[in-house]
Amino acid sequence: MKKISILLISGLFVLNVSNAQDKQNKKEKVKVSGAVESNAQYYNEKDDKLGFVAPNNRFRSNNYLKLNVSYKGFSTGGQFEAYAPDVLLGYPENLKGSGLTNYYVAYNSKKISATIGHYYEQFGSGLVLRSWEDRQLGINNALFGTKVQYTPTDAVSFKAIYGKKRDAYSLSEGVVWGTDAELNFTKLFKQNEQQKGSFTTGFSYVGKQEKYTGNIANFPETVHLFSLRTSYQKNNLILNAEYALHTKDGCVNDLGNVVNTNKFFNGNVLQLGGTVSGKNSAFNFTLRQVKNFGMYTDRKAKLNQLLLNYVPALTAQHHYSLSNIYVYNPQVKFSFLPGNLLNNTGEIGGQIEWLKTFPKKSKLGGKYGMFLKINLSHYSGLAFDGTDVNTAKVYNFKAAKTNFRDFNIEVKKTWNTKVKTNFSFINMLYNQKAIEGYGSDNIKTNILIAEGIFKLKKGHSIKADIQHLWAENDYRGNWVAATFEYGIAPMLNFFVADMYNYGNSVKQVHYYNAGASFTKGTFRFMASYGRQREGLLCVGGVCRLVPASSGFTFTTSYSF
Amino acid sequence: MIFKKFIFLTSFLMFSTLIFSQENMNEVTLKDAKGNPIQFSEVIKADKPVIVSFWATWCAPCLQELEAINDVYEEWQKTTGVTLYAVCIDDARSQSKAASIVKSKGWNYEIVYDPNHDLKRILNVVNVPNLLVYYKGNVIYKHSGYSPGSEDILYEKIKSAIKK
Repeated sequence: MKKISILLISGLFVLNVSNAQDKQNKKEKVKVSGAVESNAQYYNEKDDKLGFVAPNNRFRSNNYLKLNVSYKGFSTGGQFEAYAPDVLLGYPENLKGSGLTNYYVAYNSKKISATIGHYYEQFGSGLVLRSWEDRQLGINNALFGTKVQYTPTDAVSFKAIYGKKRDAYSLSEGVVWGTDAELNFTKLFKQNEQQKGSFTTGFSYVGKQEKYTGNIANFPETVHLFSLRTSYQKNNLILNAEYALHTKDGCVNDLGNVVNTNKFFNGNVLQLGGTVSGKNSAFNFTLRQVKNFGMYTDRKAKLNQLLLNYVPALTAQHHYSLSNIYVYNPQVKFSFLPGNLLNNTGEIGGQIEWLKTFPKKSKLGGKYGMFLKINLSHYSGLAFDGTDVNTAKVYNFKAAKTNFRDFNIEVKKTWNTKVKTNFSFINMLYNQKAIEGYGSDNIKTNILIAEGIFKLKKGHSIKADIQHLWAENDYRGNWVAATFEYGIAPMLNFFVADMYNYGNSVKQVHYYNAGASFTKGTFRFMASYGRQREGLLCVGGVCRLVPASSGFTFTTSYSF
Repeated sequence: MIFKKFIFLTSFLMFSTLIFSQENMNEVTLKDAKGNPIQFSEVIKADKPVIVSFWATWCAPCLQELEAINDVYEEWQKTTGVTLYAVCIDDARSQSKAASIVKSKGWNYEIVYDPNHDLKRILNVVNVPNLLVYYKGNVIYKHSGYSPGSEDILYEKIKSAIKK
């Protein structure tokens, strides 16, 4: 494997040089591009306050080198990954080592594109199929196989895929195949978009198959997934609807073990959404039921490994440190408490949001304008009777106890050319028992955040915030936090931050961090020192459990 | 050992491409606000400068940057003829919110969607915010991250490019 990667990289280098010569000859044919990213940590030997003891390798790093070469419509490339001398804490341990991954050969034109090797794909919004990379979460479930896309006109597009999903340096046991069609009726029937609006619809089918060798009779080895989506847009109105279902699948618990039952369950998702906008304002809503729809290609898979589809949390995404302590992890599949007692079958709920800009020179807007956002989301578990999966009755469109509720208001105001402020208020209800499988089912929090951005002399700026969180029914109690950043645009940035869990009834800890970053063009380097809080790191509704740690962090990235 | 090899190869390649790099301009199809396909190669062909800015609804510095440019966008357009393509990389979780943000903030940018991250991958964008400026099909400036005041430097770069 190593030899292959070295061969490939040196091959690419030769191409690169010939490319350069071409350029000198004004014949720009072969194109090379790529990116490098390295995330490294040097852990402290121990941190008594956190109860942290360094792992066997105190220095660890996750590194990625990606290269693409293209010639006319053809392209090829790959990614070399090295987790050396070990994987960063909290990432899948089977990544340890190094190897050439995500290699492919592709042809792209306006009408036809085809890929052999690794590829990323999603059908519609990803409800029945998505393969993607998120390095922060340690996710790379690229499909390995073939993909073909045919777009004969602007109105019609077809896709077909076949493959297995990537799992570190190997592939899934399960095989995946599927097809997707998207039609734009307005274009197909040459209607006037302005008068009639734009109407599109899509249909997907995905199948997955994995051998079963256990003793449960008639265990479904193949599961079929279908989805139908449609969208209508006219002037300031957008409406969307999507329905997906899958055929019966066996029960698997959160540890990736098959539950011993000959009851098999199907699943479904119904999602409705819309946006209405006016001058300087917009309102949007989403309603969704998900029943037993968190799918993996392999039964043994758990957490973020080998996900087949994507059913994200439809809640507000907060970006301040204290607003990310209680993060909703959507309950989209059957989950079990120890002893295989049924704990969740799905969720039902929705989100509404209203955004408004009070323009410059209006009463509330003042001289420079003001922005207001109000958001509410509420999700309940889907109702079921009984915790024994053999006899449990599972319902559709019936809400049980609240899993999560989030009401938040954000006000951004520009006072003059130098000063901007943001204020946020967040009120949350977090059902830890439903979301994490233990603890209180009724944690209530209120969070207040004030942030100021001050432009100083040319290119110099300060960004600072203070935050407070009040919590009820959680031993961790109240928190206070502050961040201070000094930026010298466009290259330098320095920051100091602290979160203090002063209300914790067991142990109060300061989670401090300080560091600096340097950016030039696409090159970025960041170094910091501090403590990492244990908890869920969530990006786009998929979460990774990050263990507590302390030490130095170095991040480097560059693309060319 | 592996790590050393990795570092060696990386620096070797970085050095070589620093001298000889050029842009990959594969055919990538994006979607406009109405779901219609848009070829990226058509977008950057323009005779006037084009800013391609990658953003997401959940990325606070992205919103800050686009807000800051919005305050001066009209003036920039008058003096340089620049067009800003705001490439939204939100996935199913938040893509429906992008339209609301654009409308409520009154942005006059060209909004395009890259939900499968095809363009993001081809251009090797690691993190957002990230912007590239194209002029007559070539990249004249790249920058990642945002600090207040970065937009002034961007404007200078665009002005000096069109003067040449």
